[in-house]
Amino acid sequence: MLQTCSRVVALVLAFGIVLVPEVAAAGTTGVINGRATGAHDGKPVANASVTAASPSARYTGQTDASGFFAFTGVTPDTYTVSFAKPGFEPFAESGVTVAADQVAVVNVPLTASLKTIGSTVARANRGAYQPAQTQDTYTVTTTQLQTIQGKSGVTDEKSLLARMPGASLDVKGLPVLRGGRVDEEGYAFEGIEQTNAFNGLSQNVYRINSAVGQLQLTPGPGDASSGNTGTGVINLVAKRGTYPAFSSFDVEALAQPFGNQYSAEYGFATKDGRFSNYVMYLGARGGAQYGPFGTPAAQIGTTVFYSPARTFASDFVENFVYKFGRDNRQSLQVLYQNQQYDTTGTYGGTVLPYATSDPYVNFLTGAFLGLSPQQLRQLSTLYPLQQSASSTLGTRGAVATFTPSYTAKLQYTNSLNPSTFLSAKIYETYGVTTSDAPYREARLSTLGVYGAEGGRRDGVALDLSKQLGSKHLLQAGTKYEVNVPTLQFVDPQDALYAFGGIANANSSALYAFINPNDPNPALANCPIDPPSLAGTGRSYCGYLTAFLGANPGQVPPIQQGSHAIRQDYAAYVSDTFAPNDRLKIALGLRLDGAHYQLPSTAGCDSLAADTCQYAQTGSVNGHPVVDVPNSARNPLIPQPRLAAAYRFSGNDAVRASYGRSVEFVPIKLVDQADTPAYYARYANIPSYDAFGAMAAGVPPGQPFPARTCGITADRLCTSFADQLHWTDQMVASGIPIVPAKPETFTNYDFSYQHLFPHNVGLRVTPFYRRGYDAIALVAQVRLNPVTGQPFTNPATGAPQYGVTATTNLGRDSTTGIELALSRETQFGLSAQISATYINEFSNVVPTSPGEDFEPQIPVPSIVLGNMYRVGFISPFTATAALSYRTRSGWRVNPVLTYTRGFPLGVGNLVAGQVNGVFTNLPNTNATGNFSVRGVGGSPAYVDPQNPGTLYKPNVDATRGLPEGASPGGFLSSPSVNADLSVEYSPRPGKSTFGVIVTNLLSRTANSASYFLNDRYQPVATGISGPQTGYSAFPVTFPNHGVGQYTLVEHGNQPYLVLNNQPPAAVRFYYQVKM
Amino acid sequence: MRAIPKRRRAVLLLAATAVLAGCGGGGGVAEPPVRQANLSTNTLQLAVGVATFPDGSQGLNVVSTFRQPGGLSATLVNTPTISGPFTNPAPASTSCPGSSFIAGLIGRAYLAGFAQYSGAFSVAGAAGTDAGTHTISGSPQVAPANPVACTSLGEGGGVFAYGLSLQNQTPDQTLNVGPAYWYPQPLFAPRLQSPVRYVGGPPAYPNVRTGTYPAGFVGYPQGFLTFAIGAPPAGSYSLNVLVPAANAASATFNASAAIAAPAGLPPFAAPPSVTEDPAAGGGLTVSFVAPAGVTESIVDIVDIGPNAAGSGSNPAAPVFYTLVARGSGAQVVTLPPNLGPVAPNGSASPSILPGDNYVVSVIGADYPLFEAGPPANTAATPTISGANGQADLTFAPPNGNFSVAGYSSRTRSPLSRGTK
Repeated sequence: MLQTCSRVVALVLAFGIVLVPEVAAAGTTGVINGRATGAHDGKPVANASVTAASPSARYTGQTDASGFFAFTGVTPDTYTVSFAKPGFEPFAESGVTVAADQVAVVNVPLTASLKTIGSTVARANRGAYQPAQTQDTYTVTTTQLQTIQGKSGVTDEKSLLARMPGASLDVKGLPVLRGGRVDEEGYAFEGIEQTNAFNGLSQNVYRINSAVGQLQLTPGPGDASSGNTGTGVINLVAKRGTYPAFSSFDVEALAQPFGNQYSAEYGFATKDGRFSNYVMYLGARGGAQYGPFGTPAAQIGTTVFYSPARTFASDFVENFVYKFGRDNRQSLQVLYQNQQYDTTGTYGGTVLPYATSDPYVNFLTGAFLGLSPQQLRQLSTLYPLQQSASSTLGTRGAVATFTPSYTAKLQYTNSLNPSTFLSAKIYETYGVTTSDAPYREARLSTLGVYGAEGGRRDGVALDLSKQLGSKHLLQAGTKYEVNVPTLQFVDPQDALYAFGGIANANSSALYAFINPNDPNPALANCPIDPPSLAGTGRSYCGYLTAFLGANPGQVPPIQQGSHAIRQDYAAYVSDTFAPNDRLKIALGLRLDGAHYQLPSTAGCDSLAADTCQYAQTGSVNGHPVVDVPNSARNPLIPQPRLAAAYRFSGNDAVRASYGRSVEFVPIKLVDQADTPAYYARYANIPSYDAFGAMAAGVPPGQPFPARTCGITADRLCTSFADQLHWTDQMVASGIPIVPAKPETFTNYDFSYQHLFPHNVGLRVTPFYRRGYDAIALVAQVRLNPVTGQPFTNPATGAPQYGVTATTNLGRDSTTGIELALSRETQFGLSAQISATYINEFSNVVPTSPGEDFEPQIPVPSIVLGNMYRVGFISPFTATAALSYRTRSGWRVNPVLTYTRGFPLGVGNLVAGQVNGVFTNLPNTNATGNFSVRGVGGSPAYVDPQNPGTLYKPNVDATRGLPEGASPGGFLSSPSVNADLSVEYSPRPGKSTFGVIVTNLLSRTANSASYFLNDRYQPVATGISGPQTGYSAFPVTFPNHGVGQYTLVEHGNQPYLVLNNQPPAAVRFYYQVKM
Repeated sequence: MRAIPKRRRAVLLLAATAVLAGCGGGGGVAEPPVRQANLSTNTLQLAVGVATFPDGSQGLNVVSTFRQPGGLSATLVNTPTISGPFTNPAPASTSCPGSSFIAGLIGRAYLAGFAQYSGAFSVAGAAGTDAGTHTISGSPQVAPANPVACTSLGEGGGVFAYGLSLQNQTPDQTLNVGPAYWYPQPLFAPRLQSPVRYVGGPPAYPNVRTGTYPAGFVGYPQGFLTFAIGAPPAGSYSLNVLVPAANAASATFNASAAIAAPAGLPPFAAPPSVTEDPAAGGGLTVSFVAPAGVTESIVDIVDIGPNAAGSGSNPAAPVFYTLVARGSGAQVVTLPPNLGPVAPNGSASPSILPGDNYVVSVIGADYPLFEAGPPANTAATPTISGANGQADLTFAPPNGNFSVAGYSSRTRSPLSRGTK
């Protein structure tokens, strides 16, 4: 059936009737130029007056001796360009759409009489057909947004992007461009970068609103004005006030699950165009539905229980422009956008206890540490938003995540003359997401966490455009930005693990906080005291009471902060050379630099050994420290950009471009550090390792410093504060500062474009991208501080690995093809059809956790040089958005999306190590420990009585599904999704009544369709045992029994289908436009 | 080409949507096509016989195979039940905690009716609900935290390619190999008797301590499991194996065998004589006299540490060696030197490390005990009984250099003397 569906979709796409993307890059203004010639002789018409007018702006000028004219700094809108000269018939070309950073070319023949006006060649906008465009950019106007999304006012930017060429959703549902990773793309609003200053993701959680007048998607490097955008950039341009004024009101309601959305906008301008203002507010409230209606959360899957249950969104946009000076050539713009997006996390339950009081933590932590629930609560601090040890989210009514963000811009522009445009702006953007998640993402295997991450970006930028004659368009600019990260990570529960010695057995600091003489017997128990100490009054616990009194306080939570402010600076210059009407060549050079402002290294030598974390040399006092070379601390990346477009005829054109692009390493991957100052209270207390003292036979009470400090975790700690700091660093934070250079990309693409009859535009763009110095997290070899040689496992000869650090050891290369087919018409059938094929290779193990975001690579895989086809994106996606509008006011708008399937499977081979030799081994439960998924990710199981060798295992059973050699070796089921909207706008009238059905086919399975069950109990090939699906640990949640939840979490099949997506939903909406 | 009227185009669009809607299949994505095994191709075999222990007492010997056509274990999880004319004499005193994989090996051994096995041969057998019945059974697996039935063989007990062991698979998919997954024998042994884990090692079996075998795998099964239930009565014995399944129909396999000659093999007259190789390399020479009726003997030598070197990803002690002798009467077999675990760099280690304790056990059999087992034997139905239709065993008193409760060393080791 699925194959049949695939054919159906292919047919629909192949014979899709209409279409429409357009083109642009990353700014807020565009260019109109062209040439006026005599219709009868083709000679240039000089000194003709030219006017470009739209509701939002008006520009005037004259043609030069060659008949050429140009307007730079043009506000994006749809213009009518008119020509007048005595002796010639006045002429007007309407429908010239200008997109930011794009050149709309209007070549017209003027006739000397009132006879037939020759056909015009207005190349401003034909959807996918953009013969004058040198870069591969797709522009979506408000009308096209309506077609692609089914209705106007949809706030989901992810689904919008997924329906455009060159973009697709990864396996987690996050947008990626040309197969890049989710933090390797730029998001901009009005030319201001809106990526999260700390982690590189979308600052406003992938939401847009009706204030967006134009969306530009540039997969690839873009022109020289685009920087630090990695694999591409999405730029949103805000609406402006117009004359005459406009307004609209949109209200939308959803019955099940509960939801509503309302928005209102109003834009006006004075008749003379001096003042304009646009304001918009959008509010949305919604409930969540995972899987088919009526399905209990506990029966759907791991990621559902305690997932977001309610969402709250508020958006506000204000865009004021004041024009002044001669012909309104100067302007001041004040732009402010404020967004808030919150979620609650109680899906499936009404109460959600903090970790300090939930039975699972008591069981897990207490079992390992030998602590009672009373001791856990006594020793643990509260989370920042937690009110008491027994408080819950449900009773507190707090949100689980909240994301406020804003963007503010003050911009001055000056059209010095029609061919010279200057822009200067100062801006600030801010976005921080706070997670208050008692159960970290509701996963059974993890404890609670509180975290806030994001940051602020302040910058200034200056841009200049100059049309030199008719053949050169010069552009230059510079910018300076300061990225100030916000990171507040607080985790009291993991502190018990870390300081208890579970993860680092040579630093058992936690027991020092337990007072063995506490009058409450439940709190006085010292779990590590041997029986021989019973009744002696001596204990390995309570070390701190000698220094801090009978109540030494609580175990300090693990805390992480980020201190590395990053300063970005850039300069670019480009020339677009148009020797004739057919050829256009763009040459550009861009320099992007960054300065990671790491904490000062002053005074390092006076500190004990390597407590100086940020030294730039290899060692301090003989101990290794982190070496941050200048190439990582102060990267400066030159990026040439070369592009050309050539029009063969009126209906055929090609374009090609080469460009280098860069993505600076997110601060998150450079600086995520514990701070010694957190532990100042213990600075004068000698270090003490309770486990170590006991193992060494040192009596209780005598000093026994931990040997877990320093980068290599083997230095004697100089104080209890030093011990806590490095334990936290090694267990939770990793190496404090890591040297990582920015990843650079070399991009090549080529487009063939054709304009079919009826304004049907086609563009096909094959591309190739190669990444250099790709970011990957890799475990570091532990070095002996004395010899400088690696520590090795004496039994295996394998080097010992310590903390994981950010490296440049990643490799990737991508080839692909984008297809865009478009048609836009006022009545009848409009369409936007897109398709993207991606063939991407990387040395990140496919389908591994974090493959698309902060990927980790096992050392054996790196040593072996393994390359894989990536597993986080579908190789082929396509969308057909069709809108049929009648003159009577009806509009029907189906949107079909097709995904070929996502890579699945853990692969028959795994990179491992045998007797110190790295090799690719058959992936069974005998070698599964090498797998990024652990033994649970093995596709095959050996005979326990006769397992064979690691090289040639005796496979007794499998999951019953053929695997490829590499992980991600086969694809999940193809899927087709559809939305359908039908609306009616009575004529005459200003109202629109509509209904939109999302997920019409009720595809409730998530995008990957089915997953490997990592709790599979093999009986024989494809037959699972009675305990398949169960967790190793009995877990009692407040609302659920143990057995049911654990079974459902992992299912009882070797591969699982998690129907956790919302089913078909019907929304009714009403819109008024005035 | 004739143009399609616009109104018809709209209809076509809606029709296309409707056709695609049919692809939804009600909203679900089908499970991937899982290739299920044909359980009916598996073969269960049973042989029973008399086990003659060193002190002259007797018990029941159970030899079983449960194999796929290619000789590998038929399934990775099953629940066996042995029935016969005996009465299970073990007490029911063991309390069975809730099923919990976190209990790990301790839980497995505990559920199997043993006190914790920690190297000290302190075993008090128990049979749980089998006590006083004519059965020796395992426990069906249950979800964590649910009570598991108390039985002789426990939740981990199953029948595999060659004999019963504690290797039933768990959902965490770890490879259940290692000494702790073998039953200490004989089951139900009274305290101070000698329960031993019999594991096949080099030179009779491949040396698996080279780093190229799975971590924890220490040797091959020898197929027999003995029960200290007294002399087994003559009669018919059966083995019922339930293969439970979560996503397929469960299956049951049955096999039967009989004891017609309850006398069994005579006991060894003396423990084996062990001579240590005076040169480096840790070799041994073992001499013994196999009683009449024995057709082959296996000599299991275990270096129980404390110094035995690990290799590759394998941990250290115990290290198992096996020698094979044919026929009855006087036998002399030699453990070559330097058969120990191979270091990561490929260098050999002594078979018995200086200063290590070791145990030499000799087991005489009247059936092809060695030939029937893996890895050499890949037949689905190997021969597991002797000429009399039984699988009889006789155990010599152990020898070697060891000191454990209830036993004293018969041979003082020149190697150990040299280190003391």
